[in-house]
Amino acid sequence: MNAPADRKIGLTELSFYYGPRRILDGVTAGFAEHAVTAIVGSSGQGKSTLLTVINRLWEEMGHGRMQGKVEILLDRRMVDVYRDGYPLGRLRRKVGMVFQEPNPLPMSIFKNVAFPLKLAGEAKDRRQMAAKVQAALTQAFLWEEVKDRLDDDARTLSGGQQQRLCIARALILEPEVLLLDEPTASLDARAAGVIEALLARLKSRCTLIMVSHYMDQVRRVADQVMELADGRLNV
Amino acid sequence: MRAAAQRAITAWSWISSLLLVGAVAAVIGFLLVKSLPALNPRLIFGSTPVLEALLLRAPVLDGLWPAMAGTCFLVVTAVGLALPLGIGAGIYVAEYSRGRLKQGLTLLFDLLAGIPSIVVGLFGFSLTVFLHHHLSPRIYPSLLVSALALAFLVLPYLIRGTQAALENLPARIRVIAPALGATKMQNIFRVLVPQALDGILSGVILAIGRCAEDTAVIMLTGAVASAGLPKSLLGSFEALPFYIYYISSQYMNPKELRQGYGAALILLIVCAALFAVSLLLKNLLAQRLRVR
Amino acid sequence: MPSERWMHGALAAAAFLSATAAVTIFIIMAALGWPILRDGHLLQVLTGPWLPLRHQYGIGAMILGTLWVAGLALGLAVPISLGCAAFIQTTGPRGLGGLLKHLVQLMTGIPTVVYGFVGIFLLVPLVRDVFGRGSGLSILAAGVMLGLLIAPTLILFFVEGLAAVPRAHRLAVSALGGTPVQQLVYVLLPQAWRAILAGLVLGFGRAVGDTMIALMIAGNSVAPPASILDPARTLTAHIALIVAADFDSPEFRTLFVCGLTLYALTSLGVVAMRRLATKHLEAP
Repeated sequence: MNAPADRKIGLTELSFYYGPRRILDGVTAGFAEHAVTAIVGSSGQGKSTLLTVINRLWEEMGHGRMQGKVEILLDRRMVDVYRDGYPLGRLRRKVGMVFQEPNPLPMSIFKNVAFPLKLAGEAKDRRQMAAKVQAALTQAFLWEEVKDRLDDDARTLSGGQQQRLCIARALILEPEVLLLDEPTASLDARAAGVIEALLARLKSRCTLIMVSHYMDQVRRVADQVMELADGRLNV
Repeated sequence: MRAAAQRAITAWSWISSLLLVGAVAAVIGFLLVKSLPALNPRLIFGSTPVLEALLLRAPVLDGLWPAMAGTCFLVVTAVGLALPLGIGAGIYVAEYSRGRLKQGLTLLFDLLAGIPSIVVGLFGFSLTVFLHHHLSPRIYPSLLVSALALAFLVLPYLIRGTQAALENLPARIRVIAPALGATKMQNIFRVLVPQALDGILSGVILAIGRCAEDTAVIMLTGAVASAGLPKSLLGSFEALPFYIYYISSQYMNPKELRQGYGAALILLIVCAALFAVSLLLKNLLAQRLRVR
Repeated sequence: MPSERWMHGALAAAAFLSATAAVTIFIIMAALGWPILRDGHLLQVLTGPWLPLRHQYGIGAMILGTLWVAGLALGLAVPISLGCAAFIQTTGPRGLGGLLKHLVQLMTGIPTVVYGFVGIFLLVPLVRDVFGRGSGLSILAAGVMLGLLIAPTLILFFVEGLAAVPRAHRLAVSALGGTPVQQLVYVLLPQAWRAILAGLVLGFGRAVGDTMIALMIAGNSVAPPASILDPARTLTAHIALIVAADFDSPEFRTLFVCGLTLYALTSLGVVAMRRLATKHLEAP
């Protein structure tokens, strides 16, 4: 357990229901800053759901009911993301998400990575944009491979490259937290290795929470491991 | 700038929704208000006692009964004529045709669906007159001719409804019977069609609704303002939508106008109800297939 | 199995017989209108004025009438339908959006003769009073009612197009902090433009092919219209009105040219829609 001062994210008595089913049952946990915390557990236990509760994405996905408290250290204060009226858009820019299946948007590589800037209204200076795109792609270990074809459609990239693209896209706004839902599940071993290496580098910039069911990956990458079983999180 | 544009778009979506709902409410509300005074059995049966009219013992001269009966007969005849052709064609297109043949067939069906109803009516009328002159003077615009023309009109509804229902059946349902040794025909008639029945029925009810509401075709092929109950397929007939059109320009007094409003309301309710049932059936099919 | 083959034959017969319907109608129209086409008067008929007393049977004004009325109907219905579709799919609260969709679905069942009837007694006097001239029977009144008629079809088509965009894209935008409007503008609309175009074409076909609204409230004057407050006669209304004329007269024969023109217009629409639909299926 971490002392409150080191906590980036705190969950208190968090329960989540999908219809009559209880997915999360009174989860209480803390996630350390600048660390990689892995959440493991057998399939269907609600690991992905836990992530979507943190960035409130479950609200876009259908029906569900949530109880409890989710607090995140943002702008140097602990914010209750459900009750303190923190703007949703801002929350999701500070808490980025990478999905299990890479989901590049139907646009060019450059436009994909630059897209969050457009959404946030920060897409005015083209040179600044290009610099940020390059920085994000570099952080995602993808720059060298795509620097000559930034205008190609993002869907022409391989699976591993698409996933790194999605990571770059999530990184461009410099989030404080990055949620990763089984980021290497749809990739081969080599592509997975590249992503694991870049995750290790990222933790100096932000806090990472990663859902995974590959135990050896977890052992390689994570600083802390929690197991989600029967709706409860155990260290 | 971005935020202002976003607000404008959101505002427009709300405004247009309100405009639409307001317009529909105005139309239906106006109709309801104007037809309310006329909503009683006299609207349908006129000054003839209800029982006498129903037992065909006395004619109804100033009520909607003949028009409603005419519409009923018309719809039953037209859909009856089109049904075997439409469903048969739909099954053929969905299950037996592919490639160029399928494209060609669906093109011809789409073209048929696009033809304006008045052109179908013109076709029916001209053909009738032509045959009247050249074949037999007994051929004349009548219930049969209108029904035949309407059959042309609603054929695409039946074909599409059947085709869509069958094509949307998931692959797992298609392979059950063949895996047990059934022939293609057995699969179609014992498994696929029964499974797709809701969707097929939905198309049938849509066709019924379309026949009930059509005015352009019947006004050229046999509908008249006053003919009493339909006596035979070869005679002229009254129909509700034609009555509404006729009354709108030929009403002689407020009472007749009120009857017109009443007729419009009845037609609206009947068609909207038929349409709602057709939708429910389609959703029922989709739900049943998903649950399995 | 012989009964199999028999059944197969019956089904095929049904399909081919139904397929000949569209062709038959075309052939009969062309055959009966042949005298005009043969005598080379086609251009005159298509563009000239309708003055039967002077033996001039041009349907030019009717073609204009159709274009004005259908044009106005589309011009009114398309922006409103896009707005409603956006409301149903993204900007409206989920419950309200679903409600609006059901209402729109029900609306498609409203018969056109009912719109025409209500148009005569509600809208026409309104136009007459607001604008102070004419009888109120006008392109404006007809266009508004026609727009109301085709709007539900347009809305449902647009909604389907927007909903067909993969969920993964929408979630990606949400996860990046995008609002529903941003989702709509940056991802949904660009992906759904083909469906939107197809809906437009469909709406045009319906607007051109409608008879009762134009017949009852557009005024049926044979003079070419000059403004939306003028009355006009559409091709469809023209057919309905002239059919009472003598069958062998040249007057009557021009009706077949009307019919063929309408057939051509709607068939162009059908072909355009089929092109758009298949391209839509080919997209990755």
